[in-house]
Amino acid sequence: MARDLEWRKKELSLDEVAAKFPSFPKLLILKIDVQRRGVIYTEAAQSKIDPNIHQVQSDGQQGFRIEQRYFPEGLILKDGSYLIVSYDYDFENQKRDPYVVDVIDDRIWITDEGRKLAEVSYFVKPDYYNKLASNGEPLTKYISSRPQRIDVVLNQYCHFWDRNGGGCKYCPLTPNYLKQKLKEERYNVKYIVEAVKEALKQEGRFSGFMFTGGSILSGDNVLDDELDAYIELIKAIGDLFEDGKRYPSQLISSAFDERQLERLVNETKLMHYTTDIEVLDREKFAWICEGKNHYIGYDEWKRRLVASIDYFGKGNVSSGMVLGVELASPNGFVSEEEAFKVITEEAETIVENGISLAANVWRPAPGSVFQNQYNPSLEYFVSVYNKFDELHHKYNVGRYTDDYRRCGMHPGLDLLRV
Amino acid sequence: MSAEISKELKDLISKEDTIKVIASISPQGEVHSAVKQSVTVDENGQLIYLEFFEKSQTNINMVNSIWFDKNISVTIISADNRSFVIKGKTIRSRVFGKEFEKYYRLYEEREKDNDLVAVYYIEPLEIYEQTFAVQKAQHKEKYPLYVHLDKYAEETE
Ligand code: SF4
Repeated sequence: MARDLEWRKKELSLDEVAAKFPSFPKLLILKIDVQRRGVIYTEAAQSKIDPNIHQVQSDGQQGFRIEQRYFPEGLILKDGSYLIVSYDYDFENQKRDPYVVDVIDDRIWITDEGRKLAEVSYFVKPDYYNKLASNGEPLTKYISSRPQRIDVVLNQYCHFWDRNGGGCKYCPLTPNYLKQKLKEERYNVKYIVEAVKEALKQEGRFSGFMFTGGSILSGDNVLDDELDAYIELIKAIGDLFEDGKRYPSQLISSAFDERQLERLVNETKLMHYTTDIEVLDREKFAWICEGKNHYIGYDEWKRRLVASIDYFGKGNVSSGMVLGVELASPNGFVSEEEAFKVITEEAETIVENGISLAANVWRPAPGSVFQNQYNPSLEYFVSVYNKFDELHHKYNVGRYTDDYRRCGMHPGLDLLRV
Repeated sequence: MSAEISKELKDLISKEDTIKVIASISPQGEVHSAVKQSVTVDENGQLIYLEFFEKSQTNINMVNSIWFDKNISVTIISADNRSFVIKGKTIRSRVFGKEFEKYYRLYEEREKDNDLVAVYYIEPLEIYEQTFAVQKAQHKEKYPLYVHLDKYAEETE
């Protein structure tokens, strides 16, 4: 896909969107747009990375990105929040221009067309970095940090891809796994626990865990093996905390049924359960998340999501979604107006149960089926986030996991800070 | 334009018996003020405010001040009832990192269950003394005719 030299004329600019939504902080609109358009670093900006201090992209777990160039893992903005620009940046195929991180007067800025938009700094890596597990492997192989959350990607491969066309079309996890010819599908929990123990020595750094990974469909019933794997992990880490007390932790897994949820809640000290519905429309879900649809189905996925409140309690259940992917071609919505109407109405049927929605900004990821697609306008993203925020307030749904402190991937949820 | 905090005021801010009050504006436009003893001055002359509660009204308002460019003010009241006002701009917040951890440990040493949530950096924009006697003298000099005649007569006797 060639760069569209006229793209700026075809959609509202950052300033115009900010003027249209005056109560939406411009800094958050910028965050959304950086995630939407992507970001590149000038040589001067790269020279500001100190490998002894900063957390860079080529450290740690390589699931959702395999880019080995030396880029910061994320940016810190003046409001203390993070800007995670996950997924590799496709330098060749971008319809819009990316933002540029540059150095001006010795300070690091996000810029666009040479204009300074926000001063940033780079993530400082946690103390466990550069240390090794007892098997000699770097601890960063087993856990990553974002920056206040300890993330564990348990299964590096997602078995929805075993079925032809079954993988979610926006997701680069399994394509990256296959491209790198990786063989170790799941890491030994023993080494993950070693990494966690080392990470916990750093006072004042971490405030929660996030466990996730590719789906595992095998077992007596579909997903039983996935459940067993997470139970082993969550229990092993839970042993590091006080007996009987749930610890700040979030599992993002496939949608378990009631029998599986009961085991999860009874056998572990997990606090928060998330199962990502991803696309808020039955028909688009069936096309985009073919495997999820085939094995579980949209209505059943949603039913299980709502049912999980009975096990984890209101306020401890959430769902992620890939915002914007509903407009992918050829089978997505054709107009942003129609997409807005459909997905915000559907969102209300979820949020009204006390479930919060953590929406990512969809930027077509290299390696994914949708890699050469074109994502929606900034105005679309901001209007949906604005509406979701209204819903979160209307149904008094707070957000603990995936907030500005623990995640950094959901700029819309930053609105819940005030 | 930054204002410089004098040595005298820095010393006052660092005294344990000095009271420090932050006034800030909520997203709804309401004024909120609260005693915040964790206001200090760093080596660069910036005001530092350490916040311990994610959902305190001051924390919400500090975020609001960064997002929407709203200034805040800090009132400093000494044990002998002198008072100063520092108007400031919240320029940065940090919720992790080496400097955050330095403050985290410092306040944890003071009280084990102190759990720092954010460090705010405030650039002083304007500083003035508001001690009653000082304000009275300044006001009298600047606005000599805002006075009742009986007082005016006494003063001109
Ligand atoms: S379920 Fe979908 S989004 Fe999740 S890892 Fe598998 S393909 Fe990716």
